[in-house]
Amino acid sequence: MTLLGRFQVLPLQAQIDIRDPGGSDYPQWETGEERAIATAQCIAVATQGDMDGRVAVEVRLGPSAVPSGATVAFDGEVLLSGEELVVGNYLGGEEHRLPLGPGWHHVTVYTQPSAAPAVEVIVVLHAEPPS
Amino acid sequence: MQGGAGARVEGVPLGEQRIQGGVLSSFYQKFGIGQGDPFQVVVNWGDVLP
Repeated sequence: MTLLGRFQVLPLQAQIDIRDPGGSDYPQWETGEERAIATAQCIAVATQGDMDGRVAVEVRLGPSAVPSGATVAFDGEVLLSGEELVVGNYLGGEEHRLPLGPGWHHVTVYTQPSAAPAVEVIVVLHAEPPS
Repeated sequence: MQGGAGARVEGVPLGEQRIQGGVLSSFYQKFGIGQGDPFQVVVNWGDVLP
């Protein structure tokens, strides 16, 4: 496992996003209680509110042990049209850019704690597509 | 803010914040509005405006 980055993101509107900066299809919440929602080029992850402070976001590449106490919020793929993946908060203009390369990338997003709004988000990028 | 008898202040539930955040993010993204960019809001009252 390679650690690509670890950030403290201010979760404006109680969410963070993992997205293609060239995308234009931000996903829409139905109830606001989903753990995560996604389009082809963007994954929005439910977190605690910004009044409760920043959220720790860790991005890992390759096989990674499931974090203790974490829940899978999303397992699927994200499409990058360019070289970079962005992790941050779109509304706040917060962007942490990671060079991954264009194409589909298998992503698993874990959040913790599992029984409350997330204060930590772990993003695992896999070499192989989802089964 | 408007007060008065029985007035109270409550936070917006997290679920509602997320829905609003998704709508706003989509709007900004769709129209290419970046941080600090000005934009104009026009309320269209139908037959009132030309």
